[in-house]
Amino acid sequence: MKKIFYAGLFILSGVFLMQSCNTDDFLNTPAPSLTDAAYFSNDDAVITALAGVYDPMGWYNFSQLTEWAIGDACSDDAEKGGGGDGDYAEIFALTQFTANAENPLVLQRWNDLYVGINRANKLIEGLTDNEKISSSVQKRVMGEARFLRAFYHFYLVKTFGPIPIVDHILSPSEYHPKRNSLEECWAFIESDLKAAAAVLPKKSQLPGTEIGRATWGAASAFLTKAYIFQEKWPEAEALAKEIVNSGEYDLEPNYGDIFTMATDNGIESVFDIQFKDFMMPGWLDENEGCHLEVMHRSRDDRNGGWGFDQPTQDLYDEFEEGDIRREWTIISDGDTLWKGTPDEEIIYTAKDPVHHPDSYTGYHKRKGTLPASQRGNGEDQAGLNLRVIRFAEVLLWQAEAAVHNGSDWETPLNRVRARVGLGPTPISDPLEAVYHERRVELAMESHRYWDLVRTGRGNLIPGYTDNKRYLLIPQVEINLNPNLEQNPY
Amino acid sequence: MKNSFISLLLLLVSTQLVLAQGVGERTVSGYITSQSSGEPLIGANVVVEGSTRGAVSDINGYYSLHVQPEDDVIVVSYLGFVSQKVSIRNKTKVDVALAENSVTMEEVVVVGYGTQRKNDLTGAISVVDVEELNKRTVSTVDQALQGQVAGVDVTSNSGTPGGGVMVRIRGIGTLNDASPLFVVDGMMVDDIDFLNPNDIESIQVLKDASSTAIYGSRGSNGVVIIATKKGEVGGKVALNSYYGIQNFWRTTNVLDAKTWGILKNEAMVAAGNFKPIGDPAALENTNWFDVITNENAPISNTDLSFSGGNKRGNYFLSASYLSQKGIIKKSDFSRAALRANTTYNVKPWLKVGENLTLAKTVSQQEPYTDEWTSIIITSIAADPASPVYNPDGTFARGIYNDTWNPGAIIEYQNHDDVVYRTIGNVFSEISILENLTFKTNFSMEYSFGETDDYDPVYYVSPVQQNATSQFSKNNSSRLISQWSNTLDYTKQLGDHKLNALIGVEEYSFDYKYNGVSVSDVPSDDIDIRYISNATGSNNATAWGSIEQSRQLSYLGRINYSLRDKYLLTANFRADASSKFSKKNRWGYFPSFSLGWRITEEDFMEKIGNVSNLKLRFGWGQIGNQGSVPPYQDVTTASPGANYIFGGVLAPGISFPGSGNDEIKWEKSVTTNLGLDFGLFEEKLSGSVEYFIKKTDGMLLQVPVPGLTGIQSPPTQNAGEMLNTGLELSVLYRNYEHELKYSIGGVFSKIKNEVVNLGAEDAFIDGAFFINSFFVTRTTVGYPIAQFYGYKTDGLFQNQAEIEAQTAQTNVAPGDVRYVDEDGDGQLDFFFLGSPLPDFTFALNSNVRYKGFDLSLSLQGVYGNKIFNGTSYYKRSSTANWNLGRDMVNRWTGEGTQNDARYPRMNANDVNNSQMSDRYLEDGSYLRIKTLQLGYTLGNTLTRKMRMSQLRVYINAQNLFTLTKYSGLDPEVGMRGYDALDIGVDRGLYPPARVYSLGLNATF
Repeated sequence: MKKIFYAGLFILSGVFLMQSCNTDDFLNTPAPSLTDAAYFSNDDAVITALAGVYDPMGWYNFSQLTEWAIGDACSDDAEKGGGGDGDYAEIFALTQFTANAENPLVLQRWNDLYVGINRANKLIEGLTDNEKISSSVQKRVMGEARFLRAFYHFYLVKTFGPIPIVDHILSPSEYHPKRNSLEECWAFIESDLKAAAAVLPKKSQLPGTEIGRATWGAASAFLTKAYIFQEKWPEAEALAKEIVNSGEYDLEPNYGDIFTMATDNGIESVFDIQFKDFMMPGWLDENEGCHLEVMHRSRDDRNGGWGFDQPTQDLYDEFEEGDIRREWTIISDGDTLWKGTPDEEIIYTAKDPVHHPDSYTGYHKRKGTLPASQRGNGEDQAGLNLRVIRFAEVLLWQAEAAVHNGSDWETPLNRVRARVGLGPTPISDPLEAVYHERRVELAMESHRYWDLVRTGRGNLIPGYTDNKRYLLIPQVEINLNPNLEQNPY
Repeated sequence: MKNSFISLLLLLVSTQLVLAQGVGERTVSGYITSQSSGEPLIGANVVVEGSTRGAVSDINGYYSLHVQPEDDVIVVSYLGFVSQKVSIRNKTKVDVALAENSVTMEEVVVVGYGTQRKNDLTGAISVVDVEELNKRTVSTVDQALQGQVAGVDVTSNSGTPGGGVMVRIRGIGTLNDASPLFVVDGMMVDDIDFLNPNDIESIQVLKDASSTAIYGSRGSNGVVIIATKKGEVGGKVALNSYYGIQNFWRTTNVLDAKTWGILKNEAMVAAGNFKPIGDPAALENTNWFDVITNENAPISNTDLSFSGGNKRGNYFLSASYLSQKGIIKKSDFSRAALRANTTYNVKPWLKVGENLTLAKTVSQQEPYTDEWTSIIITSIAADPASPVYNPDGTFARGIYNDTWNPGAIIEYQNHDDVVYRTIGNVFSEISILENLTFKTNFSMEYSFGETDDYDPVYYVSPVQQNATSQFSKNNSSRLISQWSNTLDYTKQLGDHKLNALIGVEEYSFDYKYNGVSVSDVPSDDIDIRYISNATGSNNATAWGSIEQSRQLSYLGRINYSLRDKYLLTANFRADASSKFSKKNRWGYFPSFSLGWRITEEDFMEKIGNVSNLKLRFGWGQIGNQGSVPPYQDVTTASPGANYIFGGVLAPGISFPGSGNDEIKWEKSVTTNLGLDFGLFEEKLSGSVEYFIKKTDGMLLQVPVPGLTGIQSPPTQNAGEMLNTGLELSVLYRNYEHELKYSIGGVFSKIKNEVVNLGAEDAFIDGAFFINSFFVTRTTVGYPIAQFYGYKTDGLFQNQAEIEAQTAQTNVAPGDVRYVDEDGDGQLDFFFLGSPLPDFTFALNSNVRYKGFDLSLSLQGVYGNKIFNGTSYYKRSSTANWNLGRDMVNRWTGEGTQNDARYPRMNANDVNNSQMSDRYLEDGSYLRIKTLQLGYTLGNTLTRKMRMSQLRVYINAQNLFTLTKYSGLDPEVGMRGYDALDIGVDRGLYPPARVYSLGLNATF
């Protein structure tokens, strides 16, 4: 009996001992991924994090959906299109100016842009005073991060008006900021863009492997755009001129070439959002391709697109007779595209009970419509870049600012017209001439709505009133942050 | 497979023969009956006194026992009867009539780390009727738990073979994983899919904190303890087998092509379009539901077990094979399982043993479960006027809409899962002193799973095509090991009985997965479907990572009873988990419970007919670490944030989350009050329980403002949730006459309330639907996941009604009118109902007469709502998709219809398809879960066949369902593990109606 007792005690104490010692070793299970504290340890890691800051620019909801949904479809240039009013009813509500604060697309736009800001701030914090990073990478990437931070803020301000500026990683006690004033927002955007322009290389200096990254020209052009939105006409004209005179950019000789893959990052591109078909598995933001091609292609079942963003008759009529930009912007029923190539295709745009019951306007958008052989792997992976700022727009900014400054507006304006074989503008009122030129040159490139509202011409849009200029801040955001004041709408 | 199965059986048979061999000088046999009724007692134990040799009586009460010359006396015992010693000296035939014990109280219940007399229980513990469980023709044991125990709700998440169920004990205690802990033979496991139902000896459900607290941080959602079978004295071979056929019990009820054509034209004309269909009457109809249905899908199960033992040891060996085809094509499940349980008494003070299971499950499941592409949805939405095939035999594209061709989905989907599992434990028990026992139990589980997905090249339509074949393979392995050591001390001193337990336990969990996806597999031939054969393998993508967690625990329990009348149980457990940062690692979980057996009091003697009355009270605090994903304390880099530099993919990373090293244990406090009763010599028995369960410091990804840019909010201890509930279970049985019957019912009512979500006015939207709206909202003051949206108020009948309001624009007569309650010209959102039922109930009854037995079980829920996602299609005004048959009642003019479910047809509709109560339906149902009629063959016949028992039965499952719900089935569980996505029918795979035929034989 005693033996057993001792044996038992022995086993027991052994077991208890084994289980109790090295508790911390036993309970220590390190995370199987890099933590932020350890991440920013070399130049390569910084470049990888930089790609992550660019990434949200290409996201579906932001650049492939709500940009045109607001920029084109909310204006007098286009109707939503698609498969009936209920197909993306959230966009329909926006175009009718009846959207409420629960609109999920608007929420997503708000969130995505702030994700971009957060990523830029994370990168800036990782770079700041970090001795492990070479000074050249530190300087250059810091410039890009500030460019990107300004970029995302810019789109927020344009969409929602004055918004809370986020210039660092927020700690939980800072999660409920108030909105900054509009002036503060623009000042912040300007300071980031100026800092970026000061350090970023010129486009011509970029090695081939860096094409697509922000340049001096991109930062300067966005700064010009910020001036234009603020009506800082002298600054806008001066900077636009500087870009024009830099010799970094020129117009594509043929207007029709602008929206082809051949001119991606071409001479006219000041800033492109990059898309490419890498045959990746995964949908939407899991690949690097773009939906816009299928989204805008004719919904006629012989063409197989989704038929969104249909140009209006009003836009069609805006073009002067003989302006070739009309046919490069708008497809009319039965137009044959890519003639003489194996991709030759007749595009149907008219309402047809069997093939195309959902045609709204009888037109489809041509810019960005790609021939069948270039549409990519699956519908969501077309590889055409999105032209965000192209040189023609810089010229038109110069012209617009010059009109306000009373300086030479005709030279830049007529340069844009000359490219498409048109003579000097026939419109006598300078401002009207610029407005007309912007509309037709940049038609269906998601600029029209913002142009109208920033120049006080929102009344041209049916259903628009001045309180609709800025979208409602998402309700969930206001619920989570009672310090946020809602926009009138 | 068949061959190896047979050889395995042979092996098992030979093992059994060797072990069961005994040397007998003579045989004693006879009948064991009940003294009061004269009925044979089935399964009574007959043991030679002072030995472990014995036998068990058969269906006729007959036993037969080999005895040694020196054997004098046998002991005959039977549950609920007084044991009797009988001399067998010089006798070969001994019949015994046992007297009934007035109170059947000696039942023993398995509790955490031990057993307890049912008498002494003070916590809320329910015992599952395992016999009832085995009447269900289901593939996994958790499915069979439905309607068995008060307070345990089981809802199918998908009726697909092997599909998951949502098991909730006492409601939803947390927004996190609220699944109970399963403990099989002392081992904590995540699921019980590997178990063969016939291997189960007992299932007990631990419901309140005082009984689950011994599992500390793992116990807050309740614990289901399962013990597998052990061999008994003597030898037994059992064979159980059934075969059944399964079918849908309802169809999707959509329009035929001709009627749909009329409505389609109407919708197009209303939108200012042409009529797309010239002559609807000329349309050919396609019944898409038939296209996907697998009629009379078979299900079968066979298991064979050998068990036996003597005083040195016992064994239980079994082999089983279950095969189930789905009622939708290309879905199935099969499980082959082996089990070997043995115990051996090495020394008088040392017992060792093991339980080991090997299981292989193979399944094919529908790969799509979302509201766009699930097979049920596509079969509803596809236009009925399009053919399945083109004239050339290829799959046809829809003529009037671009819904995927359901036939092609089935044809081209290839989603195969194989899981191999080994689960086993080795234990030893050492009696150190008479009253002191040391137990050590080492358990391990290793499972390896492989999932193959293959997408062949096909073209049906621009939206349903695949230009490059893709093959992906995902492997995952899991190793769990657990080592528990306990010391158990029992002492009785006069009126005082004491049992104390202390223990220490280590648990580790290691999971890893690796996957690779390649393109351009040269042929669809399954025999060459390997990664290396893919010609596009240089474009391969690969992934893989690990997850680990560790837990170290100390535990203790004291049971004390005074005069068997006053009972006390106290538990304590301390857990340390690797999931928390060092400073918050330890959690301490105390509990206690008290019991008062009123029937033992003197004053109760005067009150006749009350055979048992016990009042119980318990309190405990327990944790829920199952809710915490590991690595929440740090901010980690996540890949996939890619961009393009220089035309080349630039891999990017981001930090989508924000680590929080302050998180600590989520805890719940439960108070439980229970009453057990037995009347009329236990003919009527039951219990009533009332509980309050409050979860505090609920780990939540508290929504943070979007302006933080945080994509995955940090986990915080922020939420509070309250559940209060009432449970009732009653059983009446009368075995006194030739007609023996029992009838039992369970009922539970639980009220759930979210008390805190971290921030004032915070809410969490859930169940995103059709990229368009959220279906549920969780907010303070309401139960979890309430349906949220517009409230309908009939249909606009005329233009005047439209002009009388301002909240809705772009509407016409016949459109749905929503409520603008405050009249501010903006439509108002309302809480529209709950996916949680007011109460759930079940009724189980058994009748036995001579050789016949009949059992019936009913089960139901009441008061919940279901969001019928299929109505988004079936009641769409656009007629873009096929419509429900009831849409013939649509609004066609003033006064024709005012039910918001049936608005006018309009292809351009945006008004009627918003989230509103149009899509909500009453989810209450009452279902005949099983109806089984069995016949046990007579004595003589059985004996002639050298069997001890043979029973044949016919069974119907889900025979009849009474419900107002119009979808395929009102059982709509949870999607994934998302607690906010409950009760949303996205074209759910419904449970089948099953008719089966089976037999139970023992030799």
